[in-house]
Amino acid sequence: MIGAVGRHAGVTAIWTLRRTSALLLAASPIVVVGVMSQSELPGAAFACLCSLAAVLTAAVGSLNEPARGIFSQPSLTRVLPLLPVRDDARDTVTALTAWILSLGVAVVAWQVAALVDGFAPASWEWGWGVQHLTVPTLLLAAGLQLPGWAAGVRASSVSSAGRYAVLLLAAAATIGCAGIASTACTRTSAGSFALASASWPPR
Amino acid sequence: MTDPLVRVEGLQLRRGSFELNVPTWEVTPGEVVGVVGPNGAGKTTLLEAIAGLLPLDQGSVRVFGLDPRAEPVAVRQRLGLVAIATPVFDVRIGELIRIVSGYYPTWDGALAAELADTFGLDLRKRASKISTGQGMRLRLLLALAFRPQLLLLDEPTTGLDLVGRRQLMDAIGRAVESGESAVVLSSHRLGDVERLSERLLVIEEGSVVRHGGTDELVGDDRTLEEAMTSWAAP
Repeated sequence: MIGAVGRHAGVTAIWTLRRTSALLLAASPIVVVGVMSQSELPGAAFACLCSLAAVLTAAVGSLNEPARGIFSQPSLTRVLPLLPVRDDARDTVTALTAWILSLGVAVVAWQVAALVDGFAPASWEWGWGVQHLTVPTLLLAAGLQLPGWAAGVRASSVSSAGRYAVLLLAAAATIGCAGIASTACTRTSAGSFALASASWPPR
Repeated sequence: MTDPLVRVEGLQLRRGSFELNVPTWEVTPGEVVGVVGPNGAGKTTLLEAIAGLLPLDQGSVRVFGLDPRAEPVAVRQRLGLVAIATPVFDVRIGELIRIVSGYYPTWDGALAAELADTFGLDLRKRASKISTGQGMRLRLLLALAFRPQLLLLDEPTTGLDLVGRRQLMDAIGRAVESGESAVVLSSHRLGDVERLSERLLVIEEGSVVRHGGTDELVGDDRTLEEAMTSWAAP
């Protein structure tokens, strides 16, 4: 009994660690968002970087191994053995956690960039941060959920052609989400560049 | 009176144009119940409904007295499902067993090792790289090693050779020998079902057409296959 409890705790800890690392990986594009929103790079380059990060995340998801993090988790309700976990709650918590973490990382990245850029703390406007980062971050986070969905479908018993179609669809949707996010960010940031009198990297 | 492990009441479940109806049906501890019927009758749908994988349109399914969809954790800790059509996590078998073992307080490591040895599973192979028969043995191992109180077997003989089928029979026998567990077995191998099941549920086109004791339904002078043929005759 003690052995079983210990094993359970150990496995839970390993999975938590791996999910955390996957979440950090998921958040990495948002770091790009945060840093790039302080730069003067053209929107196209920004969109490319976001898309690349999202597609890389999708590639990690397609590995489809449970031990490699949340994006590789097929829906537990359709995979054997039927693990005694509450799948819907986990998915919701995961999605919410990913979004909050992503937003947090984006805000931190924005502030670090602002600090390095020579902003005085007094000039930080939280309203600006929420306005300019919430929409793109939400869209990116939604896009980042797609690889997980694709991995779930990949693990189910659909035909090979169906799997490839779903993966292609997921990749296209992910890129689309990143594109929309970048457009939203670029547009809403247009007026804000005047606020950032100094550009990134600092001259 | 022993509480049933499974109690189905007025179940109605629609999937597209297909509709499954099961008025009242129970599975009690210590018994093996066979679910038989032609392709598309609704056997897999019934097993998936018991496992809580499908939402019901009407009626109720209680497993261990619980709603399997509302309380999946409590139910799944005591319920094993084996179905070749449902995928397993695609990792190395040894790693899969190690990961899964952590989820069940009742996991019996010695039994898992014994089954892996008996079934001849190569723990270094990935789950996606093994044959259908070995895949079925792996699913059996994963479902048996935590000593479930209810074992749902959907076409468990798929891909199994004669030795594999004998191993399966032994495993089912061991699963119910304590008298506290039950097995629900759905298979087209009617000889196996007849040999193992004390009771039968016969489904056709989503409706229960017969249920009762195997001896009572089949009789002494014919096999289940012959009985099924005569029932199907106009």
